[in-house]
Amino acid sequence: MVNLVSVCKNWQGQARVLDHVTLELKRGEFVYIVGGTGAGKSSLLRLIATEDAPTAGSVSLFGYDLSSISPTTLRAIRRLIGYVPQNVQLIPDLSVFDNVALSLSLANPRSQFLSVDARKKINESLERLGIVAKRDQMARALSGGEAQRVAVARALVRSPELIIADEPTGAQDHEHTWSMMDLFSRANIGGATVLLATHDREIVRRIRKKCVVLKQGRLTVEEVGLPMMMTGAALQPRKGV
Amino acid sequence: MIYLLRLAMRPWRVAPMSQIFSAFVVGFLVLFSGFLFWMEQGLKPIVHRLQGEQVITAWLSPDVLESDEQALLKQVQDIVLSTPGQRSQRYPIDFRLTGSAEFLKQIEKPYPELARQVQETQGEVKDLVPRYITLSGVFEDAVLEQVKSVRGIESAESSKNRHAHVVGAYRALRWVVRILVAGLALALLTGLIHLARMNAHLHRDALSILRLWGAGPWTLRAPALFSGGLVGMIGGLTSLGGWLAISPWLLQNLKQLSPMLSELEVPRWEAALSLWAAGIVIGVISGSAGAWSVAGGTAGEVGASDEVGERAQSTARGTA
Repeated sequence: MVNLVSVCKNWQGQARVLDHVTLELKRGEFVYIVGGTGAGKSSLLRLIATEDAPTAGSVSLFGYDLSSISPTTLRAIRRLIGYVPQNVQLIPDLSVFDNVALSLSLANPRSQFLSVDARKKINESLERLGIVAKRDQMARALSGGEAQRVAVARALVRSPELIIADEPTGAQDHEHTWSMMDLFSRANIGGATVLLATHDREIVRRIRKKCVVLKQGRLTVEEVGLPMMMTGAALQPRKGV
Repeated sequence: MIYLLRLAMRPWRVAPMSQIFSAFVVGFLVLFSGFLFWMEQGLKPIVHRLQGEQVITAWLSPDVLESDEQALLKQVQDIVLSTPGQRSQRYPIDFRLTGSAEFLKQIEKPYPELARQVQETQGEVKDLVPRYITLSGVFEDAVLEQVKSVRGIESAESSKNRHAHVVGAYRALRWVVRILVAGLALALLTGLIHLARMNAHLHRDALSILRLWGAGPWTLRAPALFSGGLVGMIGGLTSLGGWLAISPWLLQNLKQLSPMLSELEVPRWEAALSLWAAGIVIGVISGSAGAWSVAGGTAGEVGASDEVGERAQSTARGTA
């Protein structure tokens, strides 16, 4: 499903962000990516989400090497991905509903209009994330947490085969964190492969899945459960948990 | 499609004055170019007429009998009208035969003594008094030679090129107008492409996420095309209104400048619609330039740009 071989990424004028990262994700896996600030989590996810190209090494998705595929194949692959970027990237000129609807309509480019089922699906998705009341509100008027939930709804409504989420719970309260994680788990049970970057040790502790640890751009640990580095003082549990 | 239209409206929300000002500039420049083009086209037939307009004087041989003069006139008429290209001339041709009697009548009043002396020569009048056919109008170059070749015509001469200096001036004016129109079009496109690129920059974030959702190149280009087209359409409407409002007044004043300009054609309403269409086309062309700069190069490639990546990286560091 996802295969990275000796991937490096350098940003111009900066040190290497990813240093010979090799990673393989099988279909239906749920994997956390954990690591400190600047460890390269977001860079890694951006490469897998096809947002960036690696400086060296190769990234393959669904069996296709991204460096050598046609634009049409790339678009088809992108339609199979549900991506929640760290900076959310909602379209501010559209309402909450339209942001989600546009994502869904691009996943099914042949259907010109939203069907009744599609509308129902969007509303259900918004309801599960507790933002259905704001469905007609412009995205630019949302708070950070609300925008993050819309971004998750936007990614999941496409019923993607690969979900990539970069700190999706970073601005959420306790209740919304777990309802969001519940949605990711359900999608995973439904067959989707989930790749989730997080700082939240409580999430990793409670929902025990495979963990990939990034440290200074290097993939150092890979185990199931709470990795050693997350037991340290650097990553504190959220209040009230 | 409706979502893309809303995206296209973002520049109108974020920078409305830039859009409005640009639309009016488009309108003014298209209107100005339209007037210049109309003048350039209007001068074409005037220059053509001045170039071809002439009086050909064909002198009759002394041996042509008075009784054959009308037949000779008819022969000249036929040969002139059968010259290739001559029938397509829209200007009327005047054929006039001046015989001995008519010539004497013409000089009788201004030169009575001379007329009296000529008449006294009796039988020599035929040799002394010139007889000629005058042809006035716009002629093809070959006509003069055709007339000379008619039996009974001793010689023929033309007043062609008497307007050469005026023709030269009008030709120069037409070139100046053409260069001005080309310059205006270039300035217009350059300004609009800058606007389109600015607009495209406003769409950049939205387009980067659309790209990641699998949007095709035309979906990515649509917002910039729409916003460019909208500026062009409003500009075109401005020029259409301006054309309809100003053109009658302008025509009236131009015609008063010179009698030669009286042939300028009345601006037509189709021309006004053409200006509107020109505005839209210019807007769409500039929009497509902006769209290409944003979507064209990376629509089907992995990764947007290092600039975007670095921005995301620094954002991540700031928020983490």
